[in-house]
Amino acid sequence: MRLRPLLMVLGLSIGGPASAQYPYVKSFHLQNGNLRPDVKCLAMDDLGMVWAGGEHGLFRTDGERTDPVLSVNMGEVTAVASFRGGVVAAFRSGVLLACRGLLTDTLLTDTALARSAVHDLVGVGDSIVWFGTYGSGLWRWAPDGVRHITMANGLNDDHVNALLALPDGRVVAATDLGIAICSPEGTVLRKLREEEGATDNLVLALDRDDEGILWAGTDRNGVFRFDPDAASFQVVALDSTWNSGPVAGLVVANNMVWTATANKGVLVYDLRSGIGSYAPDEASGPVRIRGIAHGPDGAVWWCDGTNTLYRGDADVLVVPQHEDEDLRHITALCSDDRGRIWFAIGDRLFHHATAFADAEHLSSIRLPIRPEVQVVTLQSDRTGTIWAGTFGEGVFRVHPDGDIDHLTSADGLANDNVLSIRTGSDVVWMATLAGVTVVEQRPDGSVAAVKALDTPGSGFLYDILPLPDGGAIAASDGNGIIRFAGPDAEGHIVGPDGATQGVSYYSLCPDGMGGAWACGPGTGLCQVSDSTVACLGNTSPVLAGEVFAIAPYLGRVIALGDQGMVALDIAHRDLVDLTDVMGTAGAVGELNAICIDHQEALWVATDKGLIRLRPGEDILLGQVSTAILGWRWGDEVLPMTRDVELGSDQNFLTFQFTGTPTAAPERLRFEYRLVGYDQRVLSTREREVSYARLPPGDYRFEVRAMLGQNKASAHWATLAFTISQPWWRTRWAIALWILLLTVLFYAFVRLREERLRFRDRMEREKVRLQLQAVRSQVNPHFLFNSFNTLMELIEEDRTKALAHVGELSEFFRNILHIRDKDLITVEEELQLLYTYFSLERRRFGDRIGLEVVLDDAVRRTWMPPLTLQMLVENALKHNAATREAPLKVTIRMDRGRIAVCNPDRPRSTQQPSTGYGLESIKKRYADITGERIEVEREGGSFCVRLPLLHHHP
Amino acid sequence: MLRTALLLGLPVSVLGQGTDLVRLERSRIAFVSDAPMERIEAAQTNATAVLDLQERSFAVQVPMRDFQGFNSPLQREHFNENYIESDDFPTARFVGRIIESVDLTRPGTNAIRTKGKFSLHGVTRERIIDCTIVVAPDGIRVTSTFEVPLADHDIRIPRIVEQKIAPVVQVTIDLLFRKSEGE
Repeated sequence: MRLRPLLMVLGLSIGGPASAQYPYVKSFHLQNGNLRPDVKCLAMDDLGMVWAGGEHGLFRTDGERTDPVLSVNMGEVTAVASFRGGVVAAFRSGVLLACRGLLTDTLLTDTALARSAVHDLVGVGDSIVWFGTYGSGLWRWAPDGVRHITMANGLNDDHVNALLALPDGRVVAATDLGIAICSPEGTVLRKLREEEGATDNLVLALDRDDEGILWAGTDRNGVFRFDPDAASFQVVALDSTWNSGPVAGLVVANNMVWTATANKGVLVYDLRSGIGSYAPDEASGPVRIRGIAHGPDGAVWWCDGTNTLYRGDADVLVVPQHEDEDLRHITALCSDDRGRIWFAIGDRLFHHATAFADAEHLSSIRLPIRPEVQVVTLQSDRTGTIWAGTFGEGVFRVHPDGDIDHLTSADGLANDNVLSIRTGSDVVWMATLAGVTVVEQRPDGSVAAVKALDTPGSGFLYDILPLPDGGAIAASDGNGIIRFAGPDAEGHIVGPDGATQGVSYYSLCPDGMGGAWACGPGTGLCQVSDSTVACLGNTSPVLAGEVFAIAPYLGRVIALGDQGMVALDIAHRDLVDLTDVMGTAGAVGELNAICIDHQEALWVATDKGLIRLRPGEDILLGQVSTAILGWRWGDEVLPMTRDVELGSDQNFLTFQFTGTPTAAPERLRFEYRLVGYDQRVLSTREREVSYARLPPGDYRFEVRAMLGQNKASAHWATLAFTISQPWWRTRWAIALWILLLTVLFYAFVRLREERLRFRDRMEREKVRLQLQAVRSQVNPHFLFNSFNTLMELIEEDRTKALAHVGELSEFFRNILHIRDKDLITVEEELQLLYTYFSLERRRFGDRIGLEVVLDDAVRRTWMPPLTLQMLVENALKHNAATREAPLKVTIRMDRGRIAVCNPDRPRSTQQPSTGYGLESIKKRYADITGERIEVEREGGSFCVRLPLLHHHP
Repeated sequence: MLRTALLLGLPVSVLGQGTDLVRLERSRIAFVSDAPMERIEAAQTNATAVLDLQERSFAVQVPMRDFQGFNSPLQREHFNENYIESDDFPTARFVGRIIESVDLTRPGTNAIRTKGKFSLHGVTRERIIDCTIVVAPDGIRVTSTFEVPLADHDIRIPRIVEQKIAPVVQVTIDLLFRKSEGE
């Protein structure tokens, strides 16, 4: 979406007035996507944004970017007006909407309004909106209710065309039957109809000037004005022979009355000079202006029912033509002290009042010069004589009485090619192609003496400037600035010898403070003092281009070139580029064809015609202002309050901003930065920037506008906000997290502990199972031995055999009894052992012996079952037992343990030891009690020491 | 104004019942396109109109297909097919009110202004149109001549016939209303 501003085609409309002094008009074409909204009404807000309404709804534009105000189409907008720093718009559907920035607020919805459309709106203060309908009278909306003023309450007519609020709160309504002035509450106070002197009852437009005079635009009889507070209305018509058709709109701004006429475009009427002229559309046909509004910067915008908006700027007036004279070929220009502008076209000198109007006529004087000779410089002196310097035929003097006299080289001029004439205190200085000539005047203006001064260098001079000290400086070709101390002195090149060789200057101007400035090709602006020329360099595209004139203006030096216009603030040395705001780019002027009139306006002769420039102080400062229009989260518009706190998910943000001057929206650049996110300042030409996935934190969005090479706006527009932490990252949530983690960790530890314990229990269970297996292994082994013994006994001794079987069965019964126990008392074990040993004694006889020395306390301690039995069995199994050396096993306390010892006499026919028995005991002690058993083989004995278990675990 | 607009579609007998409504007796609507190379004239008498003397409002409806005249039948066809597009936009309307507060019951001739919405070719424009209203004992005659710029109503003239069709057409209306008291 890019809008191309068009420089107005300068030229007269067919059938238009004979003169044309009209403001610089720039047009803008609104477009949003594929939509080119037709605009029928418009208003401006405090930020300089234009709000345009029409069939396609309401749009907001700064001339460069156009946005629909509502995402849904609410239908046609019939009227829009400034309100609360923004605007208020009336929709045909009967909705009244207040808008500011990106925010909208529905004030009223009334279906009665849908039947008779709102024709005009006006806001009073921040709380009251008046609106005039076509058919149902005047309405007054306030937050506490709506009042309705109709013919029944004394209103002239229920068909209201336009409204105007007076500073004291009164409201003026223009109806189909004259004007009604209403009190702030809505009582009709006065009426102005044809009976009371109105030129037409059908009043279509209203506005008020700075002096409180009301201006009314009518259907048939143009514009009239009246004082609303006068005892009786004195109606003054702007034009008694109105033929421009109905007045669609009327704006009074900066002492100009801008009248939108149906047939001839916009009439601009200057209250100071009392002169009006039409600013026609670039199309030559009649233009139907639909709406007109003026903004905070004094510029006036209007629309013609299409998507084109026009912006008229009274700071720049262009006169391309006047009374069939083509003013685009002016070769020289000056003003006199009688408020006239003099200019030369060909061999004719023209003069005219500084306002170009139909009523003002051009006067011309033909100079007796050859056709190829041009007047290249004009100057008026204090007697009112106009000096015209020609390129080839010397100087002509046009006296106030119309007499012309002629000065040539024959009269003492240095040369007949005179490029510049400037009047000093009592002498006239001339720059020629052969040095400087000074003409001394008598008090009556007659020539006393003509002197050619000695001029160093080639003598080719472009411009001359008398100084307050009586001297002068001249701009030379190739020799820099040449200074003359007085009208009799010879010239000296300013600056060190040789330094100015080859340097040319074209233009000179005073700075109003006794100093002088010069400008030449490639030099930029240079300050000339007695001894030096200090150049600031061509730091701007304008100065780098061809500069054709410089002039002092409001403490500045203005330089005009084919690239545009710059203003140098002499005090601060700030160079401000005015090209974009004054619209002079592309205009090429004659060398030094510039002057300042008695109203301090700058006049320049260019190939686009005479241009009058009167830039205001704010324009000259080159200041650019910036405003943040609003911001959105996705499509949701966020409030423009300070320090907004956003939710953690509101992290997709779009910022919309704009800047002024509205004259050059297409040239604005923006620097922006989201402090807290962007590391550096970014630049864009767009009017909005977006940020996605912003992390939580504190932010400040900053933006400022820049225009061309000028300084950025001094102040950043800022918007501070916070994106809050998500709930799961707030302080209490973190505490909760820690708690949860602790609980989880604890649970984990507990679980693991539980599992380890379980595993441990399983382990023990396994051991117990192994133990049982061991026990069950013991039995067959022992049984086998016992049966062998029994077999022997059966043959030897029947009684013994019976006893053996009895003891065997008792042994097994004991084993059965204890087999399910983990631990038994030592006593129980000993009983078992005794039974076992007596069984073994049957087999071994006296070869084995058993000695048990344990007291009762020990016998009451615990041990795994079959421990002693197994140790004794092992001893019998592994050691030799003979009659000569019986194997005696002793069981007694030793070092706090139960020691089972036997002589270490390994059998010669050693049975392979599985070591199973001992290992089994070790394991059982380790697993069940955690205690180790000691196994010792020393001093010919083998001892196993078992720890005492005092408690059943 | 709205009431009159609604009443346009109703039969004349119904209109006769309102005391302040006057019904149309006779009408003639004509237009002239005076271009450098050709002058085109057409007229018709089939318009319907209603005038409300109390509300001082009126409505006029013109069936575009009924225009007769032209310089050739082909021209008439072009008028309906290419320019007016009568199939899509069969009628032109002017619904509005009388601005001037003239007494419409007293016989006499008055120059008045009417203001209202003029629809043609699907484009509605707000217009202020000057009329002459002659009040006679037995009826009211309204005549007016006004201009209709074709561009205002999105009627595009091809370049090739620019010299034959004027960009601004003169329209003449002549409406004779009979006062309804007699019925």
